[in-house]
Amino acid sequence: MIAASLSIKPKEYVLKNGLKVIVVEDHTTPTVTFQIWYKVGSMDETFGKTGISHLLEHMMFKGTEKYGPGMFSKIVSLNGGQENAFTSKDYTVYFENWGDSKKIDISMELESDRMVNLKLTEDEFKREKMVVMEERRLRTEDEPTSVLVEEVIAAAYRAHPYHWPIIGWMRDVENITLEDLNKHYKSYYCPNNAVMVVVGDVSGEEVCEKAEKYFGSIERCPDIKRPDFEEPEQRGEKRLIVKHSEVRIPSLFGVFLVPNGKRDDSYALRVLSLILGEGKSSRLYKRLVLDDKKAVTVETEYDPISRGSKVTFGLYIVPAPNVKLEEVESVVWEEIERIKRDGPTKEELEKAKNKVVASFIYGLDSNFYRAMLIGMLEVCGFSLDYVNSYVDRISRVTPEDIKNVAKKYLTRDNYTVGFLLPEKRQ
Amino acid sequence: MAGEVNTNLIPDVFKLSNGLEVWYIERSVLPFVVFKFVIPAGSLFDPEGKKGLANVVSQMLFEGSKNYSSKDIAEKLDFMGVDYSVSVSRDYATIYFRTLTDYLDDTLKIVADVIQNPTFPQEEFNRVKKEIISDIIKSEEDPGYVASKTFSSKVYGKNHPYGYPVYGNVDSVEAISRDDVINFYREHYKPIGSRLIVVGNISKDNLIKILEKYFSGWNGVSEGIPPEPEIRSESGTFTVLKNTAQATVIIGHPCVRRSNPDFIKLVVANQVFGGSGLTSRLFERIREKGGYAYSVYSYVDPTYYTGSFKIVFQTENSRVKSAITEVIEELRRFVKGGVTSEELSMAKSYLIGSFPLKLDTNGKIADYLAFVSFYNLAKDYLVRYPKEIESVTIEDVREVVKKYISSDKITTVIVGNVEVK
Repeated sequence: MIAASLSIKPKEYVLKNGLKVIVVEDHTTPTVTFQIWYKVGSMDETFGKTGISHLLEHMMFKGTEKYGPGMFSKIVSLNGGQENAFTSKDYTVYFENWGDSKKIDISMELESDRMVNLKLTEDEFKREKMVVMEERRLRTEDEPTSVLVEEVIAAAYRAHPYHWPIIGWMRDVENITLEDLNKHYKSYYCPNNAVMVVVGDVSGEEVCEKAEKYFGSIERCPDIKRPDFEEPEQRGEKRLIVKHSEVRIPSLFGVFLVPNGKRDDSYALRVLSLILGEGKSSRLYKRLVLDDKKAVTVETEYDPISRGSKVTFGLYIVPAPNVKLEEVESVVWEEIERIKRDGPTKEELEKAKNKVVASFIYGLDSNFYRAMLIGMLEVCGFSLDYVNSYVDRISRVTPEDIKNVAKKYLTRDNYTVGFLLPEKRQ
Repeated sequence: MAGEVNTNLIPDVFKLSNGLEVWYIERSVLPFVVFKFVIPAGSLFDPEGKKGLANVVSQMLFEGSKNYSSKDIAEKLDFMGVDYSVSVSRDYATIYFRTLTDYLDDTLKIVADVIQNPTFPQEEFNRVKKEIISDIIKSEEDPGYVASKTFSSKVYGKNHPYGYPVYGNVDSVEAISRDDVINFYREHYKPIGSRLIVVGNISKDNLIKILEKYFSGWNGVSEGIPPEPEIRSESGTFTVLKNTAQATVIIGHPCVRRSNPDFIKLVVANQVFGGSGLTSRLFERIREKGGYAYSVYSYVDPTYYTGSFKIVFQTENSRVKSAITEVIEELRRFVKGGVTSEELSMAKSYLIGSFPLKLDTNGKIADYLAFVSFYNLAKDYLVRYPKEIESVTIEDVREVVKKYISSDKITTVIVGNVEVK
């Protein structure tokens, strides 16, 4: 069995101040990826301050006492590094990729410095807000499909902070103050709320020694109190119409709220998504695109790694020209009912398993991908066993399991759907 | 030291008995192999009135072959966990797939049939055409697509193949018949003139054996690329009204071919002006100082015919005029004054130091080799690149910027909710 010998076996260390250091040694190429993960994302925000985590991510490039504005990026460039950062609902990540692994000292120096010494000024803040508002215009306002997704997610989650978009609502971004930002920074940018992930041409011991040298003296922060959010049970189907002037072809995005990877049902849900709508041989694609020719795009998706206990099982469809959204939607429901009744075939289960094995192996080729996986698991509170036992757990999914999760979660009452339609403006 | 010679990145280049040139690098850490066919069948061959034909042909390849139906192909490849995709650029088509070593033979058996014996079934043809047309209509939602399409048509004119989108437009795709597809395939999908890139866990002996087994029946020479037609550029500002919150702007002009010996010097020059990373002049001025845009960059298209130099950004409709003014100021300063030695050394360090990151997976190596092989950049290009970058001087940069970049003869395209003069 191919997959048995393939697993991720990192070395783990914890500094006294709580900083966790996870290293995968891989000497295949001279490269390395260095990532610092903070367990703070849009789910740690509140109404009126949405988007603050992402805004802070932008401001992290604005310099410290020691390295003034722009210096960080100049030093990284000068040393041949690629850098960037991103914010999700669950976390914020900063990374540098180096062509030469010896350069990680630079990451150590710069990342430890900006973990505590960030210098925020009104002037830089004002301009960066404008940049973030442009980012929102670019990625959401002028992108009809993004608007659709934003609206459907906001309707699906009422109580849980997954309700609002990562980038925040426009007015909140405008209104957030420097003081808010400082408070957010001081509360969450702490060694005991961070994880360092290093994958590449390095030695674990050496990385750990360096982490101690650069980060060891940073003080731990008071423990963070996090509300125990729970999205209450949905009491019936939610349907919405989303209009945007630039829509040329209507489309549909629907979600079911389902458990994340910490629950046993997750494995069957993953297989269910593969069988229903991932790839050109999936049930929905074959039925709607190839046979009935009622759609040009059909996809399902389910990503089990998250902090929040309920995540979305998503469905996206672009109908063929002149086919009504209601019509494709009803075919989807026929297929959902069919799998509830008859379950999957043996071949479908086997195919799903093969796809999981193959994509896991392909992913192992990339330092960055492995570091991402490790970081996500760590901040979302999964153990690494999750990855290493994943293929095995997937292969134990039975047809009965698939029927059960389909019956339990893919129900009308647990369904939120949005239709994206053109809006005529004068 | 960065840029040391890594001989693992020099591919073994050899020919199969049918003349297909193979570029091969063995990497055996993980049990899979990446394949990439590079076929000189890009949209530059699209006939008048049938723009988008090259794309339709490529999208039809996996839709049925002598031994497999469209569904068989999808079912069997999916079952083995094979990743595959076909894409077309202006210059060439690529057929990409990666497969676990265990399934190598079964995968090649199918893909070989797809490449050599596609049947282009009428039913699938009708469906795929509809899908492509739907995609074209949908892409009109995207201001970036509209801007890029408009820019190409203004910069190259109707006489030049680069003046049209790779996917064509609704009418031109509508006009394509199944016979057009068959004829295009027969002329362009040939082993001689094409390349096959292979990176991964397979020995040379096994590779040759398996390729000969499945591809020896594939014969012929692909049609060469015709001389470049005249470019008829229109300079000036062109506005496309669109009901968006932001205006998307592209500024630029025709520049050089990839085969131009000065190309690498232009890459270095552009890195300072608007290249990747968070340090370019455009990034500093437009994003950091001006707060105008989230994304701003420039590049020179590496293409077979004359590529264009482009500056791209988006900003709120109301600020588009002042943003353009500032961009043009930077462009003038760049053309007139070149770059400083500090900027040059930073650009070189970045390009050389980050180069190994472009080559750290089987897939990325295959992508790069596909590019290198198509543009005849020599098989040791991946180890030569850092040295070539290193040798670029400040005078070189000044000279190429003066010679190939202009700040007056430029085309500006604005897509957004802005006033038209």
